[in-house]
Amino acid sequence: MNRIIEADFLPPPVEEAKEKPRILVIDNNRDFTLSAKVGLERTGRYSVSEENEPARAHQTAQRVKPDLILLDIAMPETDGGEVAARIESDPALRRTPVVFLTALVTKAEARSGLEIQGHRFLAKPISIPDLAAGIERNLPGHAACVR
Amino acid sequence: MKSPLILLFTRDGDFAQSVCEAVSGTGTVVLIARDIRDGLEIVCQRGRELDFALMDFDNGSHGMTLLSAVHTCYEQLPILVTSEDAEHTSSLAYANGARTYLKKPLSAAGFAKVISHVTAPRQQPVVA
Repeated sequence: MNRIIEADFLPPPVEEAKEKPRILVIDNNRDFTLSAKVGLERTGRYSVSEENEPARAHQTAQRVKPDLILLDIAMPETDGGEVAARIESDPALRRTPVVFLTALVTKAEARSGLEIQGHRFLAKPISIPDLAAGIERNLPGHAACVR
Repeated sequence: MKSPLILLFTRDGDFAQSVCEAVSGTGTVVLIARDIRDGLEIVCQRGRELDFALMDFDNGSHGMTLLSAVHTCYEQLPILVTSEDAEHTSSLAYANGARTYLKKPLSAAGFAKVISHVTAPRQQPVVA
């Protein structure tokens, strides 16, 4: 008895390679930005850029075109509020969510939905899973981000 | 038997020296990462070879994020955290994957005991 085996010579449909969300971390503390970059990239979900010079943050954001910016509030010379204002006034970056990082609030306050200058914030010190969760909550397209 | 290999994150030269003194004579090799970039690179690339990492939370190194990043890079790596401020740091350390917390100053004898405990081969569960 002959058996017919149908071979599937067509390659399986290739899933379109999704580009990872680009995250820009702005903090004058290199240890923090590097730890955040390594930890977040290790999750395989993000592409992370660092900027340790607040005065250059706007320029870096223009170059990187991030999907979300993590921005430390308390930095010498140019503080996070000033950097956020510059980014907001840039038509190309106006829609990019800025999430403040600050040691001045508690984790409970950060979770409460309060905002600083109209931006969500995350409490420092922060772990990589909490940082990733904060990013997910605020990335464009996420349900929790719709205002 | 393979010599224990430790990765020490610290910028405190005196502390690094005291750790080296504590393990002298045990055959332990201590890699000292004064720059966290170097330390994280070692964890990501050679995490399997390390017996444990010892992280000094003093000197403003944003310890919790760093600890969490090390844990994310190689989850199986036992991490020991040390600091002068036990009250706040120990709970943060345990919550972020540290296996043991050690309050400074560390005595040579106490540290040697911790090393032998952490580097001892794990007992296989006995099946009756």
